[in-house]
Amino acid sequence: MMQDRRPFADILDECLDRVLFMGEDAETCLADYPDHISELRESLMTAGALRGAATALQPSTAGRRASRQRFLEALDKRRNARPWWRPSWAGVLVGTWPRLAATVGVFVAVLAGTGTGTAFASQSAIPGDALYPVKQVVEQTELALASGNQAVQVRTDLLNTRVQELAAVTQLHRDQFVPGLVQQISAESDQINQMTAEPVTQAIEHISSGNGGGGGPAKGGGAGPKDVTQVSVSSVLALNAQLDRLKERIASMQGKAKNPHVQQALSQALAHLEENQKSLNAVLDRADSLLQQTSGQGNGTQSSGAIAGGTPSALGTGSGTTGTATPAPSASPSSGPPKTSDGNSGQGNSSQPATERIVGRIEGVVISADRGGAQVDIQLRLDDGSVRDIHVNSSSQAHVGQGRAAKLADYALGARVEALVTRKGGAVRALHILTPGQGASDGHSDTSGGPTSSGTPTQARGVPGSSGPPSEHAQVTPTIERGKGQRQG
Amino acid sequence: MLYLRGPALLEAPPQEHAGVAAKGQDHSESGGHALAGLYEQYYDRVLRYVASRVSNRDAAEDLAGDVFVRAVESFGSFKDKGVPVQAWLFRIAHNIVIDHYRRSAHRRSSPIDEAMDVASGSDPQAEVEHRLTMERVNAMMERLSPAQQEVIALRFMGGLSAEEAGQVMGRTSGAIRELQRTALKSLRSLLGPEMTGLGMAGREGGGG
Repeated sequence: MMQDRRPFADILDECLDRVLFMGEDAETCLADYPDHISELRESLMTAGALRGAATALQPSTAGRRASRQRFLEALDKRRNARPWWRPSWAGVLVGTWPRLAATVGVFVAVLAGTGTGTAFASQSAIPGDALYPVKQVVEQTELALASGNQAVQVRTDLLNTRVQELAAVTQLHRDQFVPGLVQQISAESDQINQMTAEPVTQAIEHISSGNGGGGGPAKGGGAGPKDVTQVSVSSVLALNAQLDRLKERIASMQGKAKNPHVQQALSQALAHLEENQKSLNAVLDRADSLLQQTSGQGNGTQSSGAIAGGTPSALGTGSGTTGTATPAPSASPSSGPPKTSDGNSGQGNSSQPATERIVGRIEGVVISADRGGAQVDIQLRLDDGSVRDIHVNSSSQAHVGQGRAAKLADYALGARVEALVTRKGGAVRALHILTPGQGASDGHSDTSGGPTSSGTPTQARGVPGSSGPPSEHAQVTPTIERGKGQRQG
Repeated sequence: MLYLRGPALLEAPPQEHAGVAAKGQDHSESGGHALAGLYEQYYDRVLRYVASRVSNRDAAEDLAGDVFVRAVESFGSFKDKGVPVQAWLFRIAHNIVIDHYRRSAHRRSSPIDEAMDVASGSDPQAEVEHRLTMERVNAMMERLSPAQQEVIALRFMGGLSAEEAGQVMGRTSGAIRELQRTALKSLRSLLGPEMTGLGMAGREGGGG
């Protein structure tokens, strides 16, 4: 029982809250205020009658629907009508707008009868847009559905997307979203780094411990540990190159940003990506030395040729100073195009390292892709003017989609690269980009544009479906001689 | 306020009262949270409030729709004024009702039963009793002062706290509580004991 000197109106208000709002038994509250029990009881009962009347009211379905429609239209109209990201909005929007937008997005999807249109439309949304939360949901769904290599790819796409958004956000001065994006970029990059580097590290450990070094190096037939390493290293290299590209983009944003907080956040992003690259390079160094080591072990003495005769530096350290392809003497001129590898297989390999390093500029890229995977045939002009055809066959890497291959082509065209390729077949084991290609220089990939390599007749690229299944790809590739180039046995 | 509020009056989600408790702290956050589900969360309550103030059913639904449209349009003022979201929303509703009065010469007559369908209960007799109760409530409301009517509408139809009703009406919460007390006292004498008894039964049936 409470002794309370407050005015009755206050006590009544408290009891109304307790009884009507909190569902407390009326008698409990009455017992607390025995001095007012009579008046309190009658007032509570009256209020109860009012409440009963109110709860009996049911809005009509048609009226509710019409109002909702107007509400959504108003939201849509406002979003399109005014520069709502201007500073006066900022404080409110930071926490609230995404959730509001999520609600709107869901409503729109429900009203439309399908979420697809909304999801599609949302893909160009950036933070602060109404549909951005929908985009996030779509991304999370994609991520949840992806596994293994797919997950790495999805995450890589997400990383790219975040950087694109960062560019858009800084351009539109939606500065409040910058720190969040930077954080996401860092986290995503960490994830991808780990996912990409970990298998390589594991394979290195495996080989180093003696389990993988014994067999014929880089025979590449099965899923031996070494093969795994080699495949994975190329993905590490690709990631490294991609981080370069992203850093370049972010640096250019930094140059334009005026807000010191934004600049600081962008610096953080750059520093983070830099750190990631350092760890990648450490992995590459290990892989490199291991590759050289095993090549040396397996094929020993004669062929100083490939690796020893070329640049002594490890792949991935980026010194591309020499870099003509090492001649491969054993190759017998094959009769006619491709399919040469079969005939030469026994001979050349016994006396040579399985791989060699070449340096040159990518002049043409042909992508063949189908559901089974993708193959990228690369035409490389070496420093001595000769042309080499090498290929990255992605069928060994599950689920390299067409889009990814097309991006690779765009990115790689015009790039100066150092490649570790198999003598037999010209399959790329590792590819290190010394100087980014044209696709990289403008900071984005355009999968629809034509090849822009300088003057050289490039091959068509990006023609999904124009070739047969992966099994055919394997036959198409082998060394095609151009000019005074060499062919491999 | 010495205690926390529980679930709101008319099926209101708990966070509305969290918004009250957080008053003056983080408006952008609590307001935004409510804004996220603005329409779904508040439509019924706004409509009931408007319906208790406006005679015609169609007009009430139109006006309730206007409330949410204006809420979207004036979202900036929500932040600027720094009030809890439902006080802000009902302030809009309050103004829209006043505008409606100004536009139309006539004032409401017996709004509730005309404005809305009565919930179709399984018990026809109870339904009739509800309707009769509402008719009497409406008739009695007419005898209250405009300020008392507004307090009753905001507090029991809209489900606002005294503080929030005060923010809507531009009065102190103490003044609201006093208006509430006198309004209930008047209604009590007008409605009679049998009606209030019915109302209490209805409340308990409503599930608190």
